[in-house]
Amino acid sequence: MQKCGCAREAVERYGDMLYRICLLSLRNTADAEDAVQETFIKYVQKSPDFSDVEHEKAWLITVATNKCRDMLRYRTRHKTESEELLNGYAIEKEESGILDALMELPEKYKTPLMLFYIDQYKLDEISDIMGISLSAAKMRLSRGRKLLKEKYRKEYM
Amino acid sequence: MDKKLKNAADKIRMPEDMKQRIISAAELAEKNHVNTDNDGYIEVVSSAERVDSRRGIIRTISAIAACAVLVGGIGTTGFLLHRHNSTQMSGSEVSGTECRSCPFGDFSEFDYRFDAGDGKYGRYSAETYTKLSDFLNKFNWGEELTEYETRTEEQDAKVYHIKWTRGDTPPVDCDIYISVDGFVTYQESMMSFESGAMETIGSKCYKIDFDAFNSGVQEILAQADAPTPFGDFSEFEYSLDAQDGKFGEYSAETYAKLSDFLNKFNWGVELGMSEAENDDETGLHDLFYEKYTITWTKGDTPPVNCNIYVSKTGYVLYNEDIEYLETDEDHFIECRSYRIDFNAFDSGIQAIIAEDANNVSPFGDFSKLDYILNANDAKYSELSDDVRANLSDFLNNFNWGEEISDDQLSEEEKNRSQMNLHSLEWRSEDKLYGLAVMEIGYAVYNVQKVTYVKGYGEVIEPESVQLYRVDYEAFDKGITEILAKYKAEAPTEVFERAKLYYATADGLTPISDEGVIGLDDFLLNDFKEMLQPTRSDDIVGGLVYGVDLVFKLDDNKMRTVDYFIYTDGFVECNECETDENGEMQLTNTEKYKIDVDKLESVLKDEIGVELPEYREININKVD
Repeated sequence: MQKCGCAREAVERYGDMLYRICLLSLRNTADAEDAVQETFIKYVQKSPDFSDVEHEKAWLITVATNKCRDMLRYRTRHKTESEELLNGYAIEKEESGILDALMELPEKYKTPLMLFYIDQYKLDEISDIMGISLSAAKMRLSRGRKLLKEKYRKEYM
Repeated sequence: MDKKLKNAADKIRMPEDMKQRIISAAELAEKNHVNTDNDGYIEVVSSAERVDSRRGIIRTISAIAACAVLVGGIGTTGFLLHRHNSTQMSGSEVSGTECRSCPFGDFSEFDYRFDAGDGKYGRYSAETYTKLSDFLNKFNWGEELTEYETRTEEQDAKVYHIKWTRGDTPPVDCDIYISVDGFVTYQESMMSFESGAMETIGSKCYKIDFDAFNSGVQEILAQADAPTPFGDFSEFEYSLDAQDGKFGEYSAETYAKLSDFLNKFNWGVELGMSEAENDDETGLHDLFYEKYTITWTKGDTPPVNCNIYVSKTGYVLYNEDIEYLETDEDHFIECRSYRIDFNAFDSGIQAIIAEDANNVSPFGDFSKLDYILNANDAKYSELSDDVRANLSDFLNNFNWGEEISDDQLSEEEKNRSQMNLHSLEWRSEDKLYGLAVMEIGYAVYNVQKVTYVKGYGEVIEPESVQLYRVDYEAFDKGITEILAKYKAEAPTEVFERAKLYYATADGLTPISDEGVIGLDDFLLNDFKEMLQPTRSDDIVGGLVYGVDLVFKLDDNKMRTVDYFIYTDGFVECNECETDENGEMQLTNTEKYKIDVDKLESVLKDEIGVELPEYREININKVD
């Protein structure tokens, strides 16, 4: 068993990854910061025992994606300002299209696609992280990549 | 594509000032650590550690052999059969009155699954199940074994599994496993009230004539069932998209061939979950690996969408989902995967669709489109039915290649302004379509929307532009060969006279005889070069000039081409030809724009035509 590390170390190690997930999910910088911050606060407060670093990482992703889901639910009742999200990062114009297409997907498809293609998780790991069955993870990924392909080709190519 | 997505996403990094804010907040929380749980999410988070597939195998072995409790532990080669207390078995299930030789009950009354290890997991028709029930009921299962028996792993390889659930208070799972040597284990299990785990409550063993059982079952399965794990393709209306831009628009004859091919194709056995999902060859690693999509709908209460995705890696994903449910939850009701020989599949499909008689282009079926061909030498609006059919067939079957994006064109391709091209144009309802095949090797497909605006007439707005990589030489060769036939068929045409006149119908003639010859030559050739096709109907000025060209055809027939030139440069062209009754019939109408000042300059200065006085002012303005 490994004990969760100190806050600074955790933020340095996982901050970028969680921020990326939250930003693509919430499409708002301030909300993404809130989600990441609350994830790390929960991390130090709960101080869970992890079997290994992968477990620790999966725990953080799960808490962050749940937090994003809560914020998105809240947002359906409270509109937020839109922003030019990908400005400020060194993303080429031709690359931003695929991220824009990804961000426009429904949340249930976006998260498995992010975990699979960006964070390189396997399907069984995604099902664990998202708390869904392996079959559901597979189908969400399959349907998500089809939607992403269609959206990207139609709107960004 | 996956790399593109990852590369782009990896560039998203948390800004340094944000990182510091979060660290400060987390450190503060760490100091004031209050061990409370706000939302209860954490408890359900489990490790993302991969499950060792061998554990799955062990679990399977444990479950299958549950009736034969292992004395030496799993992994040893010796198995000892142990009988559970037979008094726990249900007497009604072994009643011999319903079926004298069947110790398990009447299969026709069970909602059972018969898994023959053929990858179909018991997905057989009701008709097949009727036959199976009859066979299973009549089969001689022999007497229950009462002696301990040592089993080896080889002997214990299971071939058939029959499963059903009996009762519901509580439900009892009934399983029959039939091994390769005819050893049959029947097991009943139910969920423990304390632990929630399935516990074996009884088991029986039999020894049957495996060859008799196997041949009987195989005969039933071979005769009666769908030829593929997805059903019989000849029995449902599906669409096969081969990513050739035709979106499955093939003839019924082609679909019949495809059905035959798909039914006979070896789809292999269904992949196990661990085998399917985490294999790098699944094609899930590349968004564009998908090559074929086969879709159809079955049933209507509710309709179920069936989809087969075949990737270039040979990975096949089949899923079914219900469309009408408007819920955020997943409504996939079936999901299976297979691995096939993609090359065999691909070559078989391509061979069939290449022969498709009613092949249509990505732009529609040209045989149904009223298109005009502007070949690189002339415009062909009036083609004989035979030539038009040949041309449409050629256009439908031409390899239009895959759609490309603008950035896939080279700089030369983007910037070259002068080149030969063949173009087609047609109109369908409120859309204008243009298709130009460029000498440099790509085709431009242009769609424009036509809207009628009161007071302005039709307003044309661009809607979409698509590019295709094509072989111009092949296109040019095909078009030229077909048009050569048209030219051979076309009636002999002799120029008879040309006339230029002013709006008042006064003829305008050059002063000199040389000018007369020059005017004829100009009106036949250079004049036409000055005309630019237009779709505008917006005539502002009045009629100023007219041009009549008269040609004599075979059999004393005539063809006339009349141009009406308006002061703002709009030109209307009407072509007429003598019909079989000797009447002149309008055969074609075109619209053009012309630079009137330039036309007048040529007529006056180069040919020597005396133009009406009032136009002199304009003419003098021309450089």
